[in-house]
Amino acid sequence: MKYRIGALLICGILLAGLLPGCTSGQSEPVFRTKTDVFGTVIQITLHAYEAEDVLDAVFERMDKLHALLTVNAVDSDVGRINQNPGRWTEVDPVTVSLVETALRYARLSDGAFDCTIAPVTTLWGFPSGMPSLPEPAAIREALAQVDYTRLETRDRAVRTASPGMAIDLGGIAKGYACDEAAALLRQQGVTSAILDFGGNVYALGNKPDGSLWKVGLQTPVAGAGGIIGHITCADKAIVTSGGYERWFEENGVTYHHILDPATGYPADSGLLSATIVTDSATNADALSTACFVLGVEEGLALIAGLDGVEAIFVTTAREVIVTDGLQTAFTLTDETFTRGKP
Amino acid sequence: MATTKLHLKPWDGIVVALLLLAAAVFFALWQKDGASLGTPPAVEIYVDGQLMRTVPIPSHKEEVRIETAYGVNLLHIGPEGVAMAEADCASRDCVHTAPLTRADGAIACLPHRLLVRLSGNLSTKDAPEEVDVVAG
Repeated sequence: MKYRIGALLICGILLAGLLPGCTSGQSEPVFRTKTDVFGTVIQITLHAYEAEDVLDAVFERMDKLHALLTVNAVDSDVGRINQNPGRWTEVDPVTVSLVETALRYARLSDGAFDCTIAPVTTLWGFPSGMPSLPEPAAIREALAQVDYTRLETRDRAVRTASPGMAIDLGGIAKGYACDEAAALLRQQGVTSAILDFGGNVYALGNKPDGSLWKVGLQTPVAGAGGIIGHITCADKAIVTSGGYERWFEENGVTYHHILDPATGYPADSGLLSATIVTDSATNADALSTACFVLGVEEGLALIAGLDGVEAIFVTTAREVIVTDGLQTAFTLTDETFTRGKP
Repeated sequence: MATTKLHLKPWDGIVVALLLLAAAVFFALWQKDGASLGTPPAVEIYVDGQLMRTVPIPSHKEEVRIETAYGVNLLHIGPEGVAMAEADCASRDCVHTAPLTRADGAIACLPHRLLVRLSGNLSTKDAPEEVDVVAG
């Protein structure tokens, strides 16, 4: 009898040990992070994929893109364009393409997204990480240099119109880098991953069990933590612009980092945040900024004219406005917010 | 050499089935939340993309000082969450970040090339809804 019980126990233990091996694709997720590019923290988690070296190629590509596109280096493409006003600067085709994309969204948003805002953001000190409130006269002077219609591209070259003008692709470069990373991962056979570029999320493929990803939306109130709700999706970029993460306080007033190209001051359109859900993180990056500056009405009008683009706006009145294509995919979980009508 | 023959009876089948069930339940729980059965959640501290330190969550709030070539950060860690209490960086965005209680979030101090995350979810009183990642 004791032999039988012993044999059965051994069988049970062996079976328990074998179970994990029967679930192919359930290996531990691979996590890698990077904090020295695009002024943000990159976190990539691969699911059901064991070849970690694929991330070496992705992070190498991120370094190259950062070296081209950062506004904080004099030898980057953007740095060289900014030091060479009024003249054509030869740059990488990636830079030309991204400037053209930025110009397309500037035209679409009537300047609410404008990559020539660099003189103003520099004045506020946001790119250097040491922000402070500038004098109104200095803001007016810097604002006079902001005009996307005076930025031109041609084959492998970019030109700003005059001294004092400068570009900053920070509002779109992070999204582009995210798209590039997702494309590289797909090329290497990754079918399930989460790419988090400082809160700009790309949900690649489905979860390892085939279900949709559940992406939480951060509560757009400084220091609040938690989420207001979640979106279920696959192969989508989810990008939010809001004033709740990067801000400073001076004389009791809070100033956030998303500046309105029309005023030179932090955007004040009645929104706490604008989230865009679409296939491309590049487009989502530019559109979320544009919508945050435009506000609900004009933002919704902009989105309505674009295929495959959905949005979630959270207003200062704590209303959450969701476009038609996300009505079922989005669930509001924070009861201190109410769902408004688009 | 003496040999022992094993004659299986109906009850043996039931015992095997119960063992299998127990193993399946154990595995399901392990898959759902490894921390609940294995290693308890810990704070993972990354500098320059490298895991520099792992600190188990203590039973009472404790301070963890992180001193690197980039600067100094002071973390408060405890069963209720992980918060950046102090930092000598210019922007202090990290200090403004809400405390961590779940593995789907992180606190970043970019000037100090620092990332703080949890290896698992904490069992706080007001546990937020479970998501795969937080955008925002």
